[in-house]
Amino acid sequence: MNTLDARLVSRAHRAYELGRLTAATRRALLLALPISLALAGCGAPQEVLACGGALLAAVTLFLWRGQEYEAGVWPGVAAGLAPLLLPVLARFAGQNQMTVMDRIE
Amino acid sequence: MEHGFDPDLQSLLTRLAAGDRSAFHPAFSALWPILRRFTARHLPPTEAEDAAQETLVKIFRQAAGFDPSRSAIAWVLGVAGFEIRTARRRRLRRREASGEVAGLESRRDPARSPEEDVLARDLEATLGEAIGTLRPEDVETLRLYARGERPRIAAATFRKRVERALVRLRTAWRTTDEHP
Repeated sequence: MNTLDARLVSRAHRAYELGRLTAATRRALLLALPISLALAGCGAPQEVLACGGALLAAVTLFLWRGQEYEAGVWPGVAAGLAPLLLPVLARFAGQNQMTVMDRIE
Repeated sequence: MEHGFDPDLQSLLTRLAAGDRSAFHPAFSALWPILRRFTARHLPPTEAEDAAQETLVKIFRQAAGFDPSRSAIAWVLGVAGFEIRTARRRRLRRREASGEVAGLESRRDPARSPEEDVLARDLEATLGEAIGTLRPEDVETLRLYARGERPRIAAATFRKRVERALVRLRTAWRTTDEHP
């Protein structure tokens, strides 16, 4: 392989990794919505921010790495959404129940 | 699903999109000659090499987003086509900016071999044939453009006319080229 080809291979390789990282970051940003929801519904914003940041970093890393790691990301996120949303829903449902009880009384 | 004439390239780009790094070097080796040939067919040698490199880098940058249900070769040539158009526009702007007037004769390489002379004559004959199929207004526009002259109209209007005439010339060229 001559110098031009070697330089071109390394340029193409950098472009490939950078392109994957950009695409991974863009897709991982979809998690901003559930993280914001958790921030709004949870009383400990610092913990939510720390966990949300770690989740974003892990998801970006796995999406960038690809293959089996990428395939596992969205099922993992879907599985994690249930425990994330349950307290928020319970709190919301509890508030509604209190309002109904107030009306009955 | 049928993906065109290069199933190998299809599977390599699909693997790259999935993050399989082991497909990088085979994909590079498959793409580079295709892109060099394609750009060399549509651009002068000095610009063709740069355009091929830019296309290659762009393809690898966008490889993560490649949709395996699409034809790989069509996607690759689409990116190359965009790069060729960009290179042509850049050249057009450079020529406009410098006011360069260069006839075909002045571009002639004095060190050309007899074989290259024959090829050049063939090329000029095919070009003449293609020009012959154009409308007189397009021929006039191209003639003025080649001489570096401009009728009394706005530069942007003239440029638009030149672009349209060149598009028609390219279409006629392809037809002439395919059916000699």
